[in-house]
Amino acid sequence: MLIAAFICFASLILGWLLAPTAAPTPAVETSTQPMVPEPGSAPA
Amino acid sequence: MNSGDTAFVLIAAALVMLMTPALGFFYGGLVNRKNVLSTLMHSFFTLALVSVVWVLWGYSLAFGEDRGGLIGGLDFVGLRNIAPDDVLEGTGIPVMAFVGFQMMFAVITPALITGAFAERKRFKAFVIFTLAWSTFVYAPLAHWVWGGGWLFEFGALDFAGGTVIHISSGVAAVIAARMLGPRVGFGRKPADPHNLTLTVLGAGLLWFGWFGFNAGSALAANGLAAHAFVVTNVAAAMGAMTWMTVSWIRYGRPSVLGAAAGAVAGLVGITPAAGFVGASSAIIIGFGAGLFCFFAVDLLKQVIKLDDALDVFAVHGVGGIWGALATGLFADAAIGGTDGLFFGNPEQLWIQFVATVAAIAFAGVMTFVILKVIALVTALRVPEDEEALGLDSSQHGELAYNS
Repeated sequence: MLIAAFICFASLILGWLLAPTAAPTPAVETSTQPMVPEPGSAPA
Repeated sequence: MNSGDTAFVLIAAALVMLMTPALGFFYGGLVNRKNVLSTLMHSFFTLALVSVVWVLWGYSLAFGEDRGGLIGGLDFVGLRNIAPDDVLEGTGIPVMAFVGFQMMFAVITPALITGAFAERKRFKAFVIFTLAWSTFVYAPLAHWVWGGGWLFEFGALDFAGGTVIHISSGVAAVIAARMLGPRVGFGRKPADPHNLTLTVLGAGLLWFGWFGFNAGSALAANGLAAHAFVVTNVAAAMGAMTWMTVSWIRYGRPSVLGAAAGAVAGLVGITPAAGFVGASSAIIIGFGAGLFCFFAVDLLKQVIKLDDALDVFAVHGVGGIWGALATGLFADAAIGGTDGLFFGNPEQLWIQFVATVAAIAFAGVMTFVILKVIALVTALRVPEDEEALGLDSSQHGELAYNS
């Protein structure tokens, strides 16, 4: 059982190494992006 | 009476109690924002309803004096004939501690089924279903396996409820999903989770509560409880990593939902085995649970087109079946007194198979009959316009989010 358990865990590690790197998702607006000032408001 | 064991079992019961609201969070995060309260309510109301049913007749039917191997007698209706100082045979705990511990098992089992009919079941039908199911399905099954019934006599192993809880609820979920029909737009519109943070919170609390579920099933603060605690944790860990890895390879990203669902699958898989298998076997069981349950979700949703909304059968049914059979494969007499196939006792696998088939058949047929009867009294699902409005508003007149 011990060997089988190691094989299971090793297969996960192998999976992480071989897992594809997906293309990044399209940029979403976050708080780090510059905000567009509303008309009439004071400039930042 | 042993005060240490008693304290341990009472705390374990409280941990298992926490699992039902945790299940509400787990499911609640997976549904549309207009149905989150109704989904939480399914779990919360079940906690209240089944607690009363258990005291009035559920415990007696499950653990009363055996009647033909099928059901318990009415000796303990309303918990009469149980004095505070009565000690449970073969243990050092009061019978009342066992009543409370088992009550929480009875509570969570019908709550698990609610994931199958989320976002469309009429609340009245849900209430009647839960009342009937806990009486006519859960109590007899608990008697068969734990209460001295025929599966107990047959030698079936179920440490903490793989057969009684997970297989039965998983099969009931399939029947309920089929009889209610799919949600409007199923297969055409994506049913994305509305708040995965709730789901991960729920999964974390379920994992926490599961220590009470499995370690508490030793009914004593002893080495077997500690063993069950450790194998429970490692199986959950392997389930989480396996599901996440398979989903990463298949869909290109390590899914957070996959890790949460995988942890639950691993926990389900180890439940019947926790007091019978070694730690290495628990790693294999967690691995298998993550793998099999992941592919079961795909099979049910994309090939069979069954709208088991929150994958109850894929996780609890398939995980429960795997756990029950794995107990017959990996059981080690050095842990729990019985060997499985890999330790030279092939008969145990046959016994586990028979118990699994019996639970599937009984829960399936009874769930079908119960829903058919309820359908004569009230509609099982809400009308289409109410489904579009959302169950929070149409069934409860409340909203989870104001904006």
